[in-house]
Amino acid sequence: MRKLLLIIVLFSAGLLSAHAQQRKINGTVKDSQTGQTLPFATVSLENAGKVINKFAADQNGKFAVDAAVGAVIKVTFTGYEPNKVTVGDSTNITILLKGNGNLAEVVVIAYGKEKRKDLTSAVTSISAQQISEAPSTNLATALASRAPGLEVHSNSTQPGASASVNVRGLNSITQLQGPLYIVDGVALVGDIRNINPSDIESVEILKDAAAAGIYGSRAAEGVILITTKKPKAGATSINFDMYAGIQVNNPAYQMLDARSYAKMKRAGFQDADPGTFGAPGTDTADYKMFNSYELQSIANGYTNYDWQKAILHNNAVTQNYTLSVSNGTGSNRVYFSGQYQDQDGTLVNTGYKKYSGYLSDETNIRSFLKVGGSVNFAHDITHNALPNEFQQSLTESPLQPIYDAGGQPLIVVDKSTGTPTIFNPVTLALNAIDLYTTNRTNANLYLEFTPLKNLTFRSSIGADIYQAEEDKYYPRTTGPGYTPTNGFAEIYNTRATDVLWENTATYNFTKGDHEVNLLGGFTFEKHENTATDMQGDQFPTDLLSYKAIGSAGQKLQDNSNYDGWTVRSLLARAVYKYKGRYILNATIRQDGSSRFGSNNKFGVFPTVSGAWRVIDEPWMGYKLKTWLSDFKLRASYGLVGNQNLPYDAIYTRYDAASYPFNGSSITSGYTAAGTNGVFGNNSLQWEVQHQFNAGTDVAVLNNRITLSVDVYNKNISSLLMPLPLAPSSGFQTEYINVAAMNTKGVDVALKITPVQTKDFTWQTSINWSKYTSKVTKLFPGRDSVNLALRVGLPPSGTYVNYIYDGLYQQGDNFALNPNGKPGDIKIKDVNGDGKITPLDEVVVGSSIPKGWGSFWNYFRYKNVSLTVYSTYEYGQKLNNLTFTDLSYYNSLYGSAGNVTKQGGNYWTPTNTNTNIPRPNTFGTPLKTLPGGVGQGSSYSIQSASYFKIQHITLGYDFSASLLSKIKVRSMNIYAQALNPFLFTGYKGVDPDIAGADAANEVYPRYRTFLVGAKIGL
Amino acid sequence: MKSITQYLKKLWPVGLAILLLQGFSSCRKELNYTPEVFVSAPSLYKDEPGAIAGVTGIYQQLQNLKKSDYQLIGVIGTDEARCTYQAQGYGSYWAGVVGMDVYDITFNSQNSDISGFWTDCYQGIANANAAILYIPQIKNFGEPAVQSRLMGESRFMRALFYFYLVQLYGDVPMPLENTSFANGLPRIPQAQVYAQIQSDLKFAVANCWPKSKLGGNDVGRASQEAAKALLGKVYLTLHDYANAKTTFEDLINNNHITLLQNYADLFDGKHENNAESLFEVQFSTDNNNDTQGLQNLYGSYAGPPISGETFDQHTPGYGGTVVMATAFYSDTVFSKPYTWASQYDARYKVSINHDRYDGNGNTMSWWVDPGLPTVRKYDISNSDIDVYHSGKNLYYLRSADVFLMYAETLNELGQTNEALAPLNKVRERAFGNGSVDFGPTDQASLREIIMDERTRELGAEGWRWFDLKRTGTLVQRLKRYNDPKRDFMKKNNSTDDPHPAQNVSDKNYLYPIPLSELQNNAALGLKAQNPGY
Repeated sequence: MRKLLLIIVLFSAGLLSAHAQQRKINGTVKDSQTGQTLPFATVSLENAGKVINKFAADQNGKFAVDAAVGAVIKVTFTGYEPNKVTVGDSTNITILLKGNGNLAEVVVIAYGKEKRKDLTSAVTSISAQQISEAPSTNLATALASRAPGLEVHSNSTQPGASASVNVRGLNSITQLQGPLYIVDGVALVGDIRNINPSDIESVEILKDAAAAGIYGSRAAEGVILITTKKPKAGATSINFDMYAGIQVNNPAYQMLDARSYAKMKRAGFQDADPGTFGAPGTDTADYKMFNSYELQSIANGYTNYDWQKAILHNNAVTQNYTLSVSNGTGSNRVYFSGQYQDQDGTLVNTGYKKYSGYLSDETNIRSFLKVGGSVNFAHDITHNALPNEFQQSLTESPLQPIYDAGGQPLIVVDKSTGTPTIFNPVTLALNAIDLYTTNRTNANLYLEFTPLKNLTFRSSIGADIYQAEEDKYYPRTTGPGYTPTNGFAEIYNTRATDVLWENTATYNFTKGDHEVNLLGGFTFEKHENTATDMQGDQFPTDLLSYKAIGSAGQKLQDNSNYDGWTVRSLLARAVYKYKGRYILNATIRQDGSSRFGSNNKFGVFPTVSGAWRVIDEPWMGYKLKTWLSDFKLRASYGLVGNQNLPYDAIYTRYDAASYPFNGSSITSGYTAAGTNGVFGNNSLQWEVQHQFNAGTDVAVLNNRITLSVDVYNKNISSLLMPLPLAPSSGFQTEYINVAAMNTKGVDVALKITPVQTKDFTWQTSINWSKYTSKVTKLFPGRDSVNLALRVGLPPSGTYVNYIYDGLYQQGDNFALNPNGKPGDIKIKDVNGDGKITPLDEVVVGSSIPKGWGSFWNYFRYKNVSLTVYSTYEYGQKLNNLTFTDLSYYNSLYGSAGNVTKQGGNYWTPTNTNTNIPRPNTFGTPLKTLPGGVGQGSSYSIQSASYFKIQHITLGYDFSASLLSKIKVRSMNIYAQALNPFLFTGYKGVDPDIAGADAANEVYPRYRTFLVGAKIGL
Repeated sequence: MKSITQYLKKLWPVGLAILLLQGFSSCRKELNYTPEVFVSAPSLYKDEPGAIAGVTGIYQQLQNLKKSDYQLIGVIGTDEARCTYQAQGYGSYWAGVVGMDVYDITFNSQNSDISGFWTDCYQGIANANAAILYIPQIKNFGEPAVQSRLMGESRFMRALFYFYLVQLYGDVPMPLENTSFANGLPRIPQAQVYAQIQSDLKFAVANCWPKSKLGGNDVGRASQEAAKALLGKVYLTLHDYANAKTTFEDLINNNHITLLQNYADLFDGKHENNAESLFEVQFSTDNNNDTQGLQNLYGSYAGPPISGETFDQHTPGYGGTVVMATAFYSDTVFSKPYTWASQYDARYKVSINHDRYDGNGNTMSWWVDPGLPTVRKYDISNSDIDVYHSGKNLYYLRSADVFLMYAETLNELGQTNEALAPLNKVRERAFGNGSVDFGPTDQASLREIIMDERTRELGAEGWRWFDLKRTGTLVQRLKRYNDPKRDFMKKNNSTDDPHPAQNVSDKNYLYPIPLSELQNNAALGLKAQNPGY
């Protein structure tokens, strides 16, 4: 029973004495786990609840005091639970203190575990509680801003959307693939949405080279370690978690009504050609601008059709159920769980469903032999929104009826040509199919052999098998499937498999003040991707859709692709701790990768890091330690590689070619330097990051306030870049290792417990991070590839465009835009040559935030808790093409469709104080935006800073006394609001969405209100 | 039981070590893992089928060069064909194509056709270089004659691409093997490039098979005849008339080249790889090996009218017309030396589409220069086509060209009377008899006559720009004969025409080196441009 909080060692059996007998007590204060003495602990002698004496132990943790039998000696020490002993007959006592809070916390690190207090590198843990605080369909989004330095953006508000994840800024120019996910030691391919957040024990973000470097070449963009739940030894439990709620639309765009739309459309036509369309402000030529349905609506007094409403699904249901069973009794321990999740989309016919199961088992065969394994299986189905579906509903004419007399979505067909002039987004939503189904199995099996007390061998083999299929069908009622296409179908299949075999040995020994942990091993990983694509059209009917793609009259595509690589590695780590105060950690990994040529397959990545637990120094006075609970300094330096080059970069690739000799008989062959055009470079090497990290952990007031600050500097050299070759080589590019970049930044995490009483607790945590990235070198003799990629700028995220210079007013000089008219966008002639040319394009913004982070607040009063989690980002800009599209009536740029209410404030000769250009029915790029269709200007660049309440959760824990009556171990019920508030100047759905700037790819904004329960048996 | 355990306890490190080392060494082999989605040169050129497949890839590069806008190089910007007056208005891309016709400011180093032609030629050369390097290394080649033939074909193709490059761009980089390009490739003097071309072609003459030996799926390969004809053309281009004469006579006398009886058969799509053909770029309707794009460019799709329909896919000009005949090609040259000659010249109605009709039989006046004649040689209405595909082959070299080049050679050697025989051989085929044969005349007049005859016989087949360059008549004949402005305004009684004026000048005897080449070739730089650009 070593886990007892207190052990009192009595050296002599004494008689109980009735009278107060003073005796001299010699005491020692030690750490209960390490047995090391704790210097300068505070010792107080109490009798009958009164403090009689208070003093500090010496630097060796020893003290001597006269005390009566029955008196109480209480010892407090920062970072430890207070402990007390009652004076008995013994005169020599040892008081063991158990560490509390962060210091005792054990975190998962690469190939092992470590006490948080002994960490030498930048590692942030996210607990199960935080991950399951709010529901998510993608585990990655549950991590958003939970750790400083971790940047997560969902790719859409659509249920089941993927996410993009960045650890500590930009880490490469061209080879970005996101962090490496390791689930229970198994590398995971692609995203992590198939893991049930309820099955997660903890997530560790390894941020610096010292933490991640032992994963070698795959750790260039950070490592995220995911540890799943294991049965708790000696306990059996059943847990049931569920929630159900509704999603309420929270429209981001308010569009013009029918009357205003008609007015704007007339203005657009009449302004361009009053001779044809009538004098401005009249409606005499309506029949030339509106179709017969619209004219009918006008005649009826501007009947208004709400297209947005027609495809929105209000009060869509979201629900989730997880049942888990854990049995940790006996030599075979098992944990299993099952999940069903179903989130309806707020756009009709969209949504996400997931079925997943997880099983983990561990058996002690002998005292020295243990085997275990786990399997996670997930099947999920996403009903995607169709491209442009929502966008089209926004821009559709509000005068246009949505349904015909028979209640069917109305498609307007030009009788003379037989081709539709208006497709209906409602048919797209109802009839077209875009289904994305994935199946994922993630499994591992391991064997642990402990021949000696301190020596453990572990061999584990794991596999991640990820299969995804996207099925599409556009029937004849939709634009892409209309006659003469007669239905279009696609089946796109991808499969990724990753097999990882790891063998490690660990050896630990302690002698006196010295503690050494050694790790060595080798690993092998093989990765394969395959893809097949089939497309067809000319279907006899729309009855069978993609499911019978064989009935397509015309085969458009039947293609396959394949890609793969292997990495084999040797790794070693040594950790040396002296007196628990000085910790040195060194790792080294040698990777060999199939992606490099024969002379450069191997790369070596060493790291070294150290920590100094200043707080534990003997010279830290006990008075200081009455308020300072922890003080630690850390520093690390190391190399990390990157092998994410195109898999064929070392080969001069020959692709299929054919030539019809004899004018008809095809001879198949191969040709190099075709569309691909890569000239193989067999001497390519690893991209290498030189990372430096320095950090400190400080805690005060008995850990009521803790602060972690890390600064880092990453110099990334021999970056893999495609060098454009002279065409006379016959090839287009050759990958070379020349470019370099730098990323530096700061991560700050602050945790405060402002109030902690028996009944009321308030905890808060604040994260803040920032980084700057810039390219420091490109090609030999060249410092720019284009305006957005050049030395001195970040490697990505830079917007280069023309500068919006207001609107032309009457009487302005039109020399820069001879075809322009008052009310058109004015572009700045940056170089002053009197012409608008591409030379006038400049950097107009960057999507990289100046800083971001989160606020988490937790209040608890008796059994009631309230959690508020919010995130923020500031200083970044987005090219909001959607906004431009939806605010500017223009035939070329945008769709000459309806605009937002802000867009209704367009320029007219009498309304000149506005930024919305005149309605421009016959726009050309020259007359409007020189960037041309889909390019815009700084007009579209908007600040995307935001502050967002991610969720507000009100919970109630049933009291133990009540629960014991109904034989329930624990029960929590809660009510939650997701995304209740967003504060931003950005005029779009959500600035927190990755790629929020892409026009036409919008999904509605909504709030979720749900109730849930967590029951434990 | 206990003893076994003890035994195990003692030996486990050995067993484990063996197991692990075994696993470790097998993993090392796995590092040579390659994704088998494509082949690389060494893996391709290891046997006969591989060599055939690699050489096939070189031919495809030629096909790429000849099925897109690049095909217009040699055709437009000459006295035979020009861009339509509207083409420039189709967008900035087509303004670049028009630039190649009128030599205006868009005839520059960034013109995508000028740089695309350059790039495609070098892609062909890169493929040929690999073949030339690897084919001789193949051991136990199934049939040694095929091995040397494939070498001959590869060197023929490399010569073909360099011949284009050296004529158009002058001194050019001349990679003969694919090695690292980091140090760039300098421009090689023309004489040296021509020497390499002659060497490649002489090799091809010796190793390519004669046409008679190329049967079945080998029809369409570079033949000995093609190699001799091209070598002769190279000599002619270099004004090395003595060698040209020897070469042409060898070809005519020893390979017995002939003309087809009917000129119309050459272009009806039903007589591909015929007796007259020496080397054709092969097309089919499969696998995007088609020439459909060309019927768009030339507006040549004159499908049968469909009543009641206008402007559909069966309408002539459907898809656009970018190029049409000059007034010289469509009228003047066929009216020489007799104004009535055109009606008896079998070549006229095969070459020129004089009138254009819509589905109702009315003359079209849509977006093609109203009513003006277009080139008919790319008409695909009679061959193996549907509206999206055309498998019609294109001529690169045919016997009529050889006879006319032979005539030119003899004339330049002062054998003016001897030159009449090959010239009239071509002419007699066109008229069916010798009634309009040319009689004896002086050298200068015959020079002019041969140039005109080349247009009548070979118009819009892609050699004209090179003929004009060879004879030094580019500027003179263009100013005289390619004036879209005049053609258009004359037809429309118009005075207002935004079509660019003719800007051709002596600098245009060389094309500009593409900017992407100057920027990315470490041995060049922006100053290595041809003069005037």
